[in-house]
Amino acid sequence: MKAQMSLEHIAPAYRKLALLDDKQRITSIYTDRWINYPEVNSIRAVVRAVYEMPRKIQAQCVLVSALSGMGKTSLFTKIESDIETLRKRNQDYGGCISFGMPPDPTFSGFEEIVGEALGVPIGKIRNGVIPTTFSRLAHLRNLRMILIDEVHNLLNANRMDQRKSLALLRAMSGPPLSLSIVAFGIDDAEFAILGDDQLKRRFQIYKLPLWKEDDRFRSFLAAYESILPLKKPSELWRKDRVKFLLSSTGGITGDIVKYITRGAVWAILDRKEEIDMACLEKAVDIPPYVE
Amino acid sequence: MRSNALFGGLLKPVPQEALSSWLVRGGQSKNYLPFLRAMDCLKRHDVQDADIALTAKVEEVLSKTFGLPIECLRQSFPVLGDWLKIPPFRRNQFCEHCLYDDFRSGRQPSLRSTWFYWWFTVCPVHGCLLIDNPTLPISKSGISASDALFNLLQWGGLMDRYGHAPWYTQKSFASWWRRYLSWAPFKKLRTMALCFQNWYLASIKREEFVIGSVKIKATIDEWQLFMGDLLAVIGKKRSYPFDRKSYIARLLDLKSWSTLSSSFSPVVGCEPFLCADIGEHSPNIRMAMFALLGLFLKLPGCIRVWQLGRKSMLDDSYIERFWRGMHSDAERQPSYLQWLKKRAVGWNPLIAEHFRYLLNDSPRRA
Repeated sequence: MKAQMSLEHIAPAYRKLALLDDKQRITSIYTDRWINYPEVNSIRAVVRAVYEMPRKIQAQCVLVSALSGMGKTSLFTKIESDIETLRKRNQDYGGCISFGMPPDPTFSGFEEIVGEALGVPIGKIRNGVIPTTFSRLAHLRNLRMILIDEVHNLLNANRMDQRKSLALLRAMSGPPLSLSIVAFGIDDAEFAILGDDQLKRRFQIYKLPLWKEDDRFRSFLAAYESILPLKKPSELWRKDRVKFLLSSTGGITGDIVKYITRGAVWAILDRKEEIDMACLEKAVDIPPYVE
Repeated sequence: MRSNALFGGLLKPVPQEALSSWLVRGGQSKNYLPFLRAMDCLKRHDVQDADIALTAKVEEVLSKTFGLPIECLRQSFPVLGDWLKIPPFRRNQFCEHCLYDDFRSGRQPSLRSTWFYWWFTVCPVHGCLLIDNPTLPISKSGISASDALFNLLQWGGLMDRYGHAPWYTQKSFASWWRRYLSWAPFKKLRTMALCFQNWYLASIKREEFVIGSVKIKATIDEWQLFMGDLLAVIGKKRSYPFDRKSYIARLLDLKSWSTLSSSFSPVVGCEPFLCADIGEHSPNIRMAMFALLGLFLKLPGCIRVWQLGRKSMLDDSYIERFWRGMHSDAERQPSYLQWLKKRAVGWNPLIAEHFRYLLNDSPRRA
């Protein structure tokens, strides 16, 4: 009988979750989920296009910048798995390595982190020249792309290390390796990367804008609602809820998702089964406590 | 067969991967926590070498840590006994092509458990000689596969010599080495060593030793004792200038000094010249030793390969004469045969009976 309950507001793949007990539904609400929206879709398409592009003398590079909490790291992880899927589907496709820039990115630390991402040490970089070992490793794995998260951390290094690291990135994106670099970071990342004139020309910049009251945001909310295992529709796209979410979060994706998930848990705990304004207001102030 | 479902969420081991290597690789994977916990647990239980038969308690703890059945762990990381197992601090023998293949396929290179045995000299996947790199810095726990690959690439490794790499440059040594690897006697010995290796692996897995159609009932330890004695004679050294060049050195066309030479005087008897540590020899000599051991045991595969290119058929007396030449090419008091006869007292009677031709003073007339 339960199955006949109208769950049409939930996406078909998630409907079975709504039939679970409260504890399991709460766990499912807190699980990280990926929601596609036009901006991230276009960035994913750009990265795929760059990855599939024939090798060029000066590789096309991409910088994705956004404010903190806009979902850069989630997008980074999604792109990592996109590339891995593409590579598995086609053996001829090249390899890709990904890593996060450490908060204290000394030049030797940069060497180490590239080595860790490859799984084999790359040797010492001297005079800005790429070590032969790295070239050979890149050749063996037919390396095409490097994904770097938190690239703005480059600014934490001293001026000399910054210049060396940028020179290394420049050398990697130029011949003979011609690796496409896809970097993610907060707005400062632009200052970090574009400090080098030659690099500046190779990078195309994409931004993840803050949410504002428009159809784009409403469709994002509707998409998020469709994966929540609540038994009644919440209609998050309604004007009052949209206005409330935007005013309390400033349009930051992370905060919006946080309040929606908290609101959904409150909706279960309060036996309402829909996120109403009261749930959202509680979600902003108090994280739900499950006994 | 390992299934993805069993290792769900964990890094899947590659076939024959050593447990220690899997732990290191897993420790750098996305789901690294179970691997770090497993390494801590091994440390707590004072397990210095993860690639030996673990105690039931340690197995249970590992099984709980990974959420895998004990049987699955045993099947994924089988231990092939202790015979001629290389101690951890000397484990630097590997197949470079396996390391390249690992890396090419997008994973971190890994060590295979079979590379930890001196009797494993030829890669069954690539059919090439396992190499060791004495310049590689080895820690207490052995080398890591990543360091081995780094070292190979940094110093050009043997890849340049094989000429498979695109950055290959012509060098006199490179061209000699390539010729040497494709030299017919070398290839023959390599195939024979592979035959012996496959026979031994199959025998320890079945726990029965069959030669041709004869099953010889003896324990693995008794076989190991017997083969160890034969290897001591096969890998014996010569004293320059008193003795002729060692047979293996002639087979391998080793023109200058090799580990088959010793500075002892012949008057010290035969024992100091016997090969007590197979690891002291270079990989090609080790390979030849196991190839000849297979021949002297009359393994059909080894005999067939040795026969290739010969006009006359090999009969039993050929191998017996060959063995006689092997142990009597250097005069010692007591002789190598006397030493072997003394050792034969400790052999399993069935082994001693089957291989009595190895203890004959004079060859049987055909």
